[in-house]
Amino acid sequence: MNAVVVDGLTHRFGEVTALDDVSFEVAESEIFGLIGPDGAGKTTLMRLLAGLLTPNGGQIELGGVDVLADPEAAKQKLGYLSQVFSLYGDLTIGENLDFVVEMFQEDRAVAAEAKQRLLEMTDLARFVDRQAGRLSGGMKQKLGLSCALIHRPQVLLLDEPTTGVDPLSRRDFWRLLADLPGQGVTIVLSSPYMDEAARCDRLALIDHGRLLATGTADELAARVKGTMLEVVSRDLPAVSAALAGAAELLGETTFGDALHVRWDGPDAEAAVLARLQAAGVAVQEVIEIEAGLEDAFVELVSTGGAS
Amino acid sequence: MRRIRAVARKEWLHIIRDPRSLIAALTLPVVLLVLYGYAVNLDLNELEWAVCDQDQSATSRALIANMSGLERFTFVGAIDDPEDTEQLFRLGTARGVVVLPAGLERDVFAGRTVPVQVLIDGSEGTIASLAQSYLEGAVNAFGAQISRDQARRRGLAGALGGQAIEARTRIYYNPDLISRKFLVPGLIAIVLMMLAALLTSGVVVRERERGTFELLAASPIAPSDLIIGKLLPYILLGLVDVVIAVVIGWVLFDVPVVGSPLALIVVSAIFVLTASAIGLFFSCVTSTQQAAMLLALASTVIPTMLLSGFAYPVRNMPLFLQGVAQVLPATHYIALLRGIILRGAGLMHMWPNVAALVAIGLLWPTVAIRRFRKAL
Repeated sequence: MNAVVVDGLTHRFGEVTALDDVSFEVAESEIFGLIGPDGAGKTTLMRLLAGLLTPNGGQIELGGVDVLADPEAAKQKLGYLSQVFSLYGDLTIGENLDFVVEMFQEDRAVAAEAKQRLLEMTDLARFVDRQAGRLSGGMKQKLGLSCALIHRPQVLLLDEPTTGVDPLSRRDFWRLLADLPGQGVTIVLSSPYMDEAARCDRLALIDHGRLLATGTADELAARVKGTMLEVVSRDLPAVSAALAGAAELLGETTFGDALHVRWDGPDAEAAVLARLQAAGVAVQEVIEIEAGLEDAFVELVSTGGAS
Repeated sequence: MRRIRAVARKEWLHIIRDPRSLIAALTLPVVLLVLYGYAVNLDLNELEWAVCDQDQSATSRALIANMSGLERFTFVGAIDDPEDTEQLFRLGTARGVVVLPAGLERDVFAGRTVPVQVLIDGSEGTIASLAQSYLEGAVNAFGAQISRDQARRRGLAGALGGQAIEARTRIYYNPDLISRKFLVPGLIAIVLMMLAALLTSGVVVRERERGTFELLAASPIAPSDLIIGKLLPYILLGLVDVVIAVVIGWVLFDVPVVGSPLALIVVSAIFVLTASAIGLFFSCVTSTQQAAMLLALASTVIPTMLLSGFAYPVRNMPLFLQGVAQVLPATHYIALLRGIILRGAGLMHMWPNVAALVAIGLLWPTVAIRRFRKAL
């Protein structure tokens, strides 16, 4: 059974269409990643799923509940961690957790156990009486996750949960997530980070409010056409200039001191090298590499998902 | 119920952990009451008056001497022509002039009622009406005394003597016309209205501003539970303010509570609920705390000050404004407070005010709940 079913979801803010006919399904116990650049519509999609906005069109089903028909019943099944810190800064860790328990009318004895387990898992037990506003960014996120989990939701929505969090805390955070699918929790998370996307079971690529592609990381990477070449040179602008206009050139992206070139032609490595030498551009290296998720992302965004 | 309790507890923690708003809530009633209590002084401490004695008789001179000896009456002189009155008023020398007509003594002894004209500088309305009552009262008292003397001389019982001038003004409960007595209940209402609306004007919009609304809106709580839970701690805080205000009225302004303290608490609780719900309503319909605060202040304090009968009697207003006054919770609360504090009246005797206050008190929380949107 699918834990999340989104069908034809459309949302407009005045004249601006933030989400345009988005449909996807998330299987139970899956980690599903929504990736896309800033402003793609990820947060709007998350808020629609959480019942915080009412869409202009389309259907959402969470854990078998129609979100639009019965939003409160859907919220009961849902854990939501928003992008901005949305806990009470003047309440302690314990008080924030207790408040959420009461909001969801959880059984107090069961909730007390869950609270203890979460506090230990997140290493927050020592700070239980500290006000949430005085926690570090990483601790705040762990508290937010605990609050989203304490009522044992079927579906966990995480909107850019690790943005602005230090790498160490990010690793801790993912360690906490890793156990959840085993407990039957379905996770939908949005992220601008490719390394996080790679940890998801399946991904949806979003840009300008449209769903460009869904699939596993490998499936998406396989959609990159042509041969991927990495050109290392001290003068990357000259490399770009020399390659510009070639019929075989599908696209190029700068990665640090290298240029990733997608080339659609036989014997790509040699062909590119020959063209650069003909133009008198000095290069250190031209090698064929395997297309990654990031390349797929760049290509799908630049072509609008047409490939 | 669990959710209401949890929200109320959370709001209470917000209040006690924000020392600024808590201090404001507890000291503002003191500051405002003291400030207003001393500044809004509608008493007439000194009444400068003049006379135009056209009779020049023993009786007219006795009247002048009698009035000059009264407390707060300052005799500033005599004029020969009533036409000079305007000059006196323009210069501010006198607030009132008593014109004793020629033939006063003759008519009095003939047993006829003598009309004595009292001219009043009406440029300051409240002061003028006080001056009027003072002067009329003094003249009437003297007239009554003459009547009694005449009756005694004729050997008749005092009651049978005719009244030289009929007294029309009779003042209950505040015979000295001390304005504080009647201002203090109104002040309590205004201070409460202002504080309650101000304190609750932030409670929803603040959550929106800080982002905590996202967590709240994503939880399955009903709007009514949320609004009621948010109101409860503020009603408690408002009742503490009621007690502070009443004690200040008693200690500083010498206005004790004559009636039932329980009745006072009950009507105050309804009033504070209403005022808090108005503040919360603005919190639901605005997007910034400043806007909510301004709207809450402007829409509660100004109409309350002007229309609730705090300083200006409702019955003197145009019909339309009388209608507006009836919808203001403070109009009924002030009437009830005056009844309880000054006259010791029971709630049963003021049931129309009680009923109106309850009706308005049910209306506003309902409006707030209906206007609350559990969406971003």
